[in-house]
Amino acid sequence: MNLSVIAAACSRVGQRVLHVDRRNYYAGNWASFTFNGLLSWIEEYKVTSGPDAGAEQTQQEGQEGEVPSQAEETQGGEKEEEQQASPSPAESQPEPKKKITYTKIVKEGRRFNIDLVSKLMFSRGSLVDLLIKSNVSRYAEFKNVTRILTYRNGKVEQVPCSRADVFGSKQLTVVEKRMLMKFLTFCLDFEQHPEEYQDFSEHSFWDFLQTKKLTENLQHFILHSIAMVIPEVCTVEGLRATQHFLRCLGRYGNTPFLFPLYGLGEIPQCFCRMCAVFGGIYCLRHSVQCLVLDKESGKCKAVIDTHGQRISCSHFVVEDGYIGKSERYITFMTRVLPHPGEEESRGPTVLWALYFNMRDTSAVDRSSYDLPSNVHVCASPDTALGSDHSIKLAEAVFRQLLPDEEFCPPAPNPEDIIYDGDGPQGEGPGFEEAAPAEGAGAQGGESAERQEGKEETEGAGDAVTQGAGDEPSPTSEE
Amino acid sequence: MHGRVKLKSTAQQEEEKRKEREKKLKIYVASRDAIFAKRMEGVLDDEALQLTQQLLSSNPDFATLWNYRREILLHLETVREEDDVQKMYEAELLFLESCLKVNPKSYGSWHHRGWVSARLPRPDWARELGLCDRCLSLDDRNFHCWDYRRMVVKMSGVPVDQELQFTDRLIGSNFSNYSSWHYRSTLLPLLHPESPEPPSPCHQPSHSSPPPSPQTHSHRVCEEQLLKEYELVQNAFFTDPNDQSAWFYYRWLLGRAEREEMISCVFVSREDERVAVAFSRPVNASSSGLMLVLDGQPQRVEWRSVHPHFRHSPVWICELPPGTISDIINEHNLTVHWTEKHTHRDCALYTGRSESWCRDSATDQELFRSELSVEKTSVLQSELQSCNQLLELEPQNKWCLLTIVLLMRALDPLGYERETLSHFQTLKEVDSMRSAYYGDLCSKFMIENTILKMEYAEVRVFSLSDKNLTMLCHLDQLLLVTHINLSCNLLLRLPPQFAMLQCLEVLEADDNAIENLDGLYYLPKLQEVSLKNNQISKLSDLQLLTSCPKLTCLDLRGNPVTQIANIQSELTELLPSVTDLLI
Repeated sequence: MNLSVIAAACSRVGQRVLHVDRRNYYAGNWASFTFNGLLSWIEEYKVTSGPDAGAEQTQQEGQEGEVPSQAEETQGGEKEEEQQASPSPAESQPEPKKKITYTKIVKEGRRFNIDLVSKLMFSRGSLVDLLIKSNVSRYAEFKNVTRILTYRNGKVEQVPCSRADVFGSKQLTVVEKRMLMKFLTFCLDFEQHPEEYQDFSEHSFWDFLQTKKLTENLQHFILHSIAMVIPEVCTVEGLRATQHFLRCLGRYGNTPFLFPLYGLGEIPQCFCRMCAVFGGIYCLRHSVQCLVLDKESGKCKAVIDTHGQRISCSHFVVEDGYIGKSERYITFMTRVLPHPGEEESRGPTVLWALYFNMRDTSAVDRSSYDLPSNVHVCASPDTALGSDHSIKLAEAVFRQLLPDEEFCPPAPNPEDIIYDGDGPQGEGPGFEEAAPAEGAGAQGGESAERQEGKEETEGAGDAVTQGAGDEPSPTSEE
Repeated sequence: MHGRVKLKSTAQQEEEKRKEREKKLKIYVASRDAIFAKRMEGVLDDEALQLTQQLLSSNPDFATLWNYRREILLHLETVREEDDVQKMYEAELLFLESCLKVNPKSYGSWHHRGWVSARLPRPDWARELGLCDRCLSLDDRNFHCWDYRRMVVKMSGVPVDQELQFTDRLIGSNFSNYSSWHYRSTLLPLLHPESPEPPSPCHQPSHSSPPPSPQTHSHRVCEEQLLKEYELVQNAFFTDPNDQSAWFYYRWLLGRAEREEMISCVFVSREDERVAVAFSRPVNASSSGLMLVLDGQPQRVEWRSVHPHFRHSPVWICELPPGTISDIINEHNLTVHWTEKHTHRDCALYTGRSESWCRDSATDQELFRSELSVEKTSVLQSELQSCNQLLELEPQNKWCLLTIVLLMRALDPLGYERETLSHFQTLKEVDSMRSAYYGDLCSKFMIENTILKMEYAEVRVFSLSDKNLTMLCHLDQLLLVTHINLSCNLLLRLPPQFAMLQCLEVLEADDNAIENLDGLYYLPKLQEVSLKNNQISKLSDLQLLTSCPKLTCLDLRGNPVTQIANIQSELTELLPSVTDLLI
């Protein structure tokens, strides 16, 4: 993700960008797959049991399996978002009696997508802001998550978070409604009322909640489903998380979250498209073998790809999965469940589950590597629900690359572009035209018009050692 | 700068836009002139239809063009087959849809749509409802769409329960919506009317006993449904107590019975040979057939209201011909007939009595509960509990406070008097912008309470001193009062309604800020007036006192008027009957 954002940002302000990814799909670890696509992905990683991911799947054909108890441990608490972009559960709605089987999932595998990383877009998060600011939003369609559910006392319940939800909630008493609204209203501008929480600045958010006359019910909702923090975080952090959630409400609907219609993998792909529209070149299934360093300056002046071709560059951006040494892993678990609303008292039945680890490099600091000064490092997905960290990182790298340029200014409307014959680069073609293909290898198409195939997006690169992945390596003089 | 996409500069873009606008304007003006010319010539053809369509699609608020369009359509209707007419109007609807997209709040477009829908030979109401739904989902407070939707519902006969579900849905998605709540209040009485049999023993009189109860219950909703509604609306105001739409609906739910028009009191004075009639509501008796029968003989009398300001008044007066009832040894029977309402009231003036009256003994039930009246006290009690619960959580919430005050009034106005006063105090503090409103409302309640106390004590003395009164009301209830004490309040005037105190003998109104005495008008029995420390400043303000024949004592100390030179002699000249003048 951050690689593609950097690529787009550089390309937008006129840098030449070559983006290579050793995979045959875009978005790398941020990708989304159809079910069948995911199965192939698993096959691939089983073989390689590669550097950053090993996958294991459990499947119980036809038979029922109880929810493994790890379910709760794996992914940050008991909270679940509604399965995004997955029409399949919805199918069961008209005829709840009809059992969904594994065979059916395989058969209908193209009707829903599964994201490799569980992220949603906060309506007022930096990703959404960036999509709007840069006009990249026009390359994808988005939906608002319709409701937020929580798992509590063995039941899946809807979390009342917006005003309308609180009003309509059947589980809360009127007094609870008032207390919840009162607390949430306070959180919205808690900085204005320091007297309310000052005494708790040294205490945990959980302790703070205990003092707010909130019933157990409400404490659960606020902690796990609204602030979405662990009980131990400090009060201010909990308040800030709550505030962020609330500020995102109502912008696009009654929940704070958006998701791209075809999965998170759309997003890096959109930025790749932006990059390509402004002249960036994409190569999939292509890696960089090594860097060429300038003896005197110690800078990277070129890369050599796997075909032995030398490509000069002034900067090189790589995802640190390729050079990294992080020992942290995120464990992901994907389950395919029947519709949350209607499982029987015994709880939902797992039809299929996938476990895999992904290296978490989000916390790794660039300074821990000994790298040439014009080699920049990007991170893989982090554990947070939003993408703010990635966007911040992308902007930081961009600032290092081009300190004097604006970060992702709005893309102009087609009618405002002046066409005066071919520019020196042949760049700036209309939006629907293909990007110039000079350097692109056979494989590298433009990122863009791939909607149909839905083979998600550009690689956020693992490929990286050089020039691989989606990293933009603005090339220019040697 | 190589490698960048070249963009037009802002100035270039501006210039292009300006040119574009100019071009558009030219076309617009030309079409407009063409249309007006055609209309002048009375041309009603397809071309005119096309021209107006062009203009209206960019400016749907051009009402004249819609009118012209209707003229054309009406004409074409007469010369075309029904199928073609259907097609023509369907095309019109399609066109209107595009106009509504340009401006979803255009009066012209919505009005025209209503007109077209009504003329369509085979209307498709389901489609129209769908359109309204789409529109309201984009803006649930678009009243144009609400209006149109009501018309569609009426024309197509959508079942009431379906409409109620519709309001459920809209309120569910956003309860700050007056339109939805109001719509609900029109649907509920249709869908869940109050059961016809007497709902509870305490209200049986209103249905069975001969003198009609002062309360009627039209538009009531059955209790079972009411309880559901209370729950719904409580969810709303507990969720957001500052949203007034829910509170307004709640007030509606709690009752809005109106007092029936009836004669509430007949008073006759032998000495003045005068009859006064009080009604439960202001009426215009001079035009609505009020008839006086004395000892079986209809009398030709002239009814007048107590003050020339009022064409409608709750109190009407007539003088009997001199000598009719003046002899104290005679007994007389009076009947006042009110032909308009087919009702009448009798009053007997016995031998040896100088005056007599006949009236309902007023109780709180009848007098002042009309604004909040639910069948069962228990229901009100539990509502009061809920509101108190909310008040504990939101001690500053004005809506909650005010609703509590109203509930307390309905339950037990005297018992809750102290709490009511303290709530009013809080209200004035938390909502200082409306402190005068609360002051007036509080005055009203204090007056009501004093009237009740007076009724219970069966006296004709009305004392309301030192109660922070800012205004006077319910003066029609004081028809029989002989002594009134209004001292130490915040009154600015004695309003014309004060003339309803036809029996008043002694008025004390010291220590107010009274500057106007409009109400001291033809009070036949008034003898003593004390107006110490007020703001009466002109001699002309006292002019009206000349209409009170029996006035002998007048205390004006502490008024600016006393500073006028020669005031003593001026006053003696103005009011020769006053023997006891203090200035």
